[in-house]
Amino acid sequence: MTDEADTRLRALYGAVAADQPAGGHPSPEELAAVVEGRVGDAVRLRVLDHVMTCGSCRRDYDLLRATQTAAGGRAQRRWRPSMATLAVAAALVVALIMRRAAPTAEPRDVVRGPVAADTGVVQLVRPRGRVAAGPLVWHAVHGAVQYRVEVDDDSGAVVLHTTVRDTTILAPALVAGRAYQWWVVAVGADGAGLSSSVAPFTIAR
Amino acid sequence: VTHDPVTDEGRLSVALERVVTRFADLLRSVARRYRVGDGDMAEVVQEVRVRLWRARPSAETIEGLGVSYIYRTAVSAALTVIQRRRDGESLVETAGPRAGQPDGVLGRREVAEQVAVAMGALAERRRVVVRMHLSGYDRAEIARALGWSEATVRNLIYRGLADLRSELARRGVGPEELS
Repeated sequence: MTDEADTRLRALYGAVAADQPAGGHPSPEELAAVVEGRVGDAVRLRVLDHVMTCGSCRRDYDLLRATQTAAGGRAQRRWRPSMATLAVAAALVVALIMRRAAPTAEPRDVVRGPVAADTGVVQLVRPRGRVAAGPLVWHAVHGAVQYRVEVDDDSGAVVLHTTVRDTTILAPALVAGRAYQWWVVAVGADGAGLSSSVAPFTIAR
Repeated sequence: VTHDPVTDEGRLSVALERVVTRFADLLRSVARRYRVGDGDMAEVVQEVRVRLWRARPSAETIEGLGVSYIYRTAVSAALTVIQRRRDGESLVETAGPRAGQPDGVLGRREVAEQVAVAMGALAERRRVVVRMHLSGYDRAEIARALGWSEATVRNLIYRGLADLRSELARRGVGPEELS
């Protein structure tokens, strides 16, 4: 078998065979299980047979492999908890128990997410400027019980207006290339509102 | 103990960005090898950042996060990015007929179709290994993906390619069409 013949077969394979999916798409979780070696031979072969004939699943598969490698797939095997790490973990457990047990003077936040500095405004994390599609994220505010989120398009029309308790929501179907602006109002238990500034953004194509 | 929220927030941001940057650097270093585009990479990094933020860490706890925690966060971030992309793709999926090929390309396309069909005649283990080989994965990658030794993979590639060639020959696609 010569290298040229191999190259030619590759080109022919890439021209058609890699675009005729064999079987149904595996779920993302199933792909992750294959990447992490948590499945038997039968499932692994069935999933990979499909992945190697489906452009979009192959992209997903490669992304999971890269993430696994970057996030310590290799380091994980070497990693052993040191005494320092164990001490930190123990301190963490104690701190968590203390926090649960001790009644706090402040009203408990009912919202999720980290709390921003007390700057008197809601701080928006993303999107700002030109960004990839993704969720809207802002910092939590002490005492807030919910948040009102609004997204307007460049004509001023309201694209999204909703109230949530979380500090992250998935954006609706925003059109790539179009200009939007958004802001968040944190609402306290007494109904008082605290607003963010208005952040313009565009979803990158 | 009283905390200055401004200082705490600043320290948290620095600690969190340090973790995110370390992960982003590692991801960038392997991205080319795994054929991952800049867009996908940026999305996963952003999703990891969002997840770490939502976990309500403090500057102290984020420094002590174990490798396995970062690992789980990153993998679940990648899964979210993939699910989001699939949700988007299902809206724009088009299944129109393929555009016609110019005359000169037609013969090559027919041969390629035969390669795709002949592939189906291979035994499953050989077929999957040959598909990965022809898709550009090297032996070590295939061996890792399948949990087999490199020697086994080399053997399967060799036998699989031989099967593929004889299956193609049976269908009238000889060495001339393949060279």
